[in-house]
Amino acid sequence: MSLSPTRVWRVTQAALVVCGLLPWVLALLPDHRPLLGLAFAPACHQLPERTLHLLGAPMVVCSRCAGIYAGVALGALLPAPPALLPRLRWLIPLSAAPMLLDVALQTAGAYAPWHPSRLLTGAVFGLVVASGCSGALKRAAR
Amino acid sequence: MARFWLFSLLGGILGVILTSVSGVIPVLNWLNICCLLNIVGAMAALALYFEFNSDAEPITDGQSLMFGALSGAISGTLSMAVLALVVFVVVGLAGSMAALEGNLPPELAAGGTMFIVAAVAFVVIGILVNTVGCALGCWGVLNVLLTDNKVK
Repeated sequence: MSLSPTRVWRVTQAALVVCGLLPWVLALLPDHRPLLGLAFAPACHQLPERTLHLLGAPMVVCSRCAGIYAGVALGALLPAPPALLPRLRWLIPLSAAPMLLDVALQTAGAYAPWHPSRLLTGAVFGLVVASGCSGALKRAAR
Repeated sequence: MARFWLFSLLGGILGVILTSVSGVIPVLNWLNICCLLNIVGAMAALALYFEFNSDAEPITDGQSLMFGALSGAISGTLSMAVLALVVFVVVGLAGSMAALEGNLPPELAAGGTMFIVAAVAFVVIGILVNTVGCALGCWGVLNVLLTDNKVK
């Protein structure tokens, strides 16, 4: 079975958007936590103090993961322009740097877990990776 | 190409081993974010494929995604199977004990269908998240570390 490049791009884009939106959609469901939340247990530590609470209940992933998921969904819809694709080799590590710095500083106790920095640094990383991937597949499809 | 997919299977198993081992080591379990260790397993398998097959042909972005997706589907299925087993054993034991004492919660007694639907959704979501994560991871490692092995 062989898939056309256009189909690979579209299927990947759809999978990234669905996957990226999942924890946010689940957070809007009433009483989502008990069983569906467990599906994310192998994917996230789900520590309460590092997790956003929406509609009075904790999200199914921590705030850093929530940021990554949101960035992935958005990045999939915004394919990187072809001019940026050769620079992905540096852009991806560069986008991970603020997130890793935030992880290191929080783990070292420099400051308490802070949701805005966790969300933002995670979202930047997710956005760059998904946008790059979507852009590369879009170029192959052309 | 069969060897390519064989290494992809290896990536799935490697991911599960990494996740399982780190899960019982206190500091290492902090790495359990966004199925990171399953992704690392898939990425390592892709790197190993090129390491052990010096005559391997370069691959495309799409092939790296497929490689990661297969690894992720395997590690996701294995992880969710183990987790589902644990959940069902715990819920089953709790239900049996409550039934023995004659105070089975009505939602558990009457809500069997909802529980099954939620359980299926739980497994599907877990596998999907792993599959997408590992696919992105393998695409990323091809574009960051293994650029010589990518079709130009």
